[in-house]
Amino acid sequence: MTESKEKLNKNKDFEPELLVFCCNWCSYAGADLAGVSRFQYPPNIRVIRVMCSGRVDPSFVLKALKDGADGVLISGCHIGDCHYISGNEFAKKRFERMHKIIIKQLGINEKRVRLEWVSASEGKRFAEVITEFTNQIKELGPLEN
Amino acid sequence: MARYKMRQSIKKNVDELIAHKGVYTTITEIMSQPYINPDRSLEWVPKNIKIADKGNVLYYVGCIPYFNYEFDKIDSIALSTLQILSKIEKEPIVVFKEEICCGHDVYWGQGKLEIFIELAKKNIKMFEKAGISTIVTACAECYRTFKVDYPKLFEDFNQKFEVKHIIEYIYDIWKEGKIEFVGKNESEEEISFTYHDPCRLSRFLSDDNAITDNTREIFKEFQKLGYKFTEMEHNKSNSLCCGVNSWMNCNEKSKALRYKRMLEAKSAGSILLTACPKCKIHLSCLQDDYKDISSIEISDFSEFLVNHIKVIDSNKISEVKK
Repeated sequence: MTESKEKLNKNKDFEPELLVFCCNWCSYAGADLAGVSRFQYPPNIRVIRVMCSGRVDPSFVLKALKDGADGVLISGCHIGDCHYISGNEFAKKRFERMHKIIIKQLGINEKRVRLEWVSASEGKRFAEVITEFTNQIKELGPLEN
Repeated sequence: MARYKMRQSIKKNVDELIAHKGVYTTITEIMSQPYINPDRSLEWVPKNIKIADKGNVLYYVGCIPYFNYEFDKIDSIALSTLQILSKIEKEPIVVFKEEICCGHDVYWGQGKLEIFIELAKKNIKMFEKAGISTIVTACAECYRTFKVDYPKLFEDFNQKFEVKHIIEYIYDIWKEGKIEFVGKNESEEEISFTYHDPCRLSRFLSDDNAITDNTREIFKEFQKLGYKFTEMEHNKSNSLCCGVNSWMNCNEKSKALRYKRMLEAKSAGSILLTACPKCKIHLSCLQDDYKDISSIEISDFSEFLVNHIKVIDSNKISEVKK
């Protein structure tokens, strides 16, 4: 009992380190808008700007998990809105494959890696997604458990 | 490892050069962490074959389930090997759901010894817990790692576990007279086939290892069934490399080497066998790019043999002995 209690307390104080890949044209602008509009969201994320969500290779995600990230979020334009026409469709396809074959088989909780679409005008949504994701990872606890 | 060190002196970030952007080596590194318990899919196991968690004989699948991410039809190696094993063994074969990598790629490709040792410790713990005495694998790299590299770290590894490649396993059982090769080639013409020696099963083993000769002995038996075995120009310990062992890197030079190998195979036969999943992946990858070599059928040793093995009843053996 004491152990699980300790674990719970640990989880409460636990501040996850999350990595967010944002595409230059939608999600990064969305994150920017969230900042400019002063929407509050937890400070646990580190944003990496990529030109397109299709640029995010599974090896980036795996390296992040290996080097201590507790969760990875990939964010891009809504389907059909991609600046490069079909980059996000490609990202989605690749992501689903990675999720099913690599992340799941490694025994890592699938909730730790996530794909979201956030457009440039959705500053509020960006803040909501980050808050929800951070809370979710807080519940799961650190990856090195 | 030497090549890795050499590259390190030229370029600073060697990880950029790894094939497939380092996806597979990163998977290996993640698996070495103590908090990771893989939950591998066993979808490829057919329903009529029983597998167990504990037992004598382990089929060590290797990284094949992860290769599914980019390559198709790789599962069939695991499937046919399991079919062969379950045909011969009476008890259910052990296949781990939480199996981890043997560490070959980080040891050879990147020289990350600490990770290799972590993986080895984790592996041995898992084998001991399941009470394994024989490890059978269809992967040439896993075989060499268990046979040669693990005993260097843990001296009693070879006393505790008997490591066998599927070729060695079939050869031993065949010599004991428990199986025979059946399934005659139905067409009138002889089908010619050739064999690509994986480096880990030829020049990377100690000299007293007879795997290359044993393989040829099995192939000689196939002559009776209407299959003609022909050697390629480079064979046994001089065989050409597939170009990308341990995901080193895949560039124009390794592709040229592979192309050369495929031309040799083309002049030798219409079926090319190999005994290493990576050789199969890399050689068949090139077939998409060059049309002149796309006619060769590349298959794994176990895929070729799975329909040609028949178990002789133990009653019959005793009758013959009388």
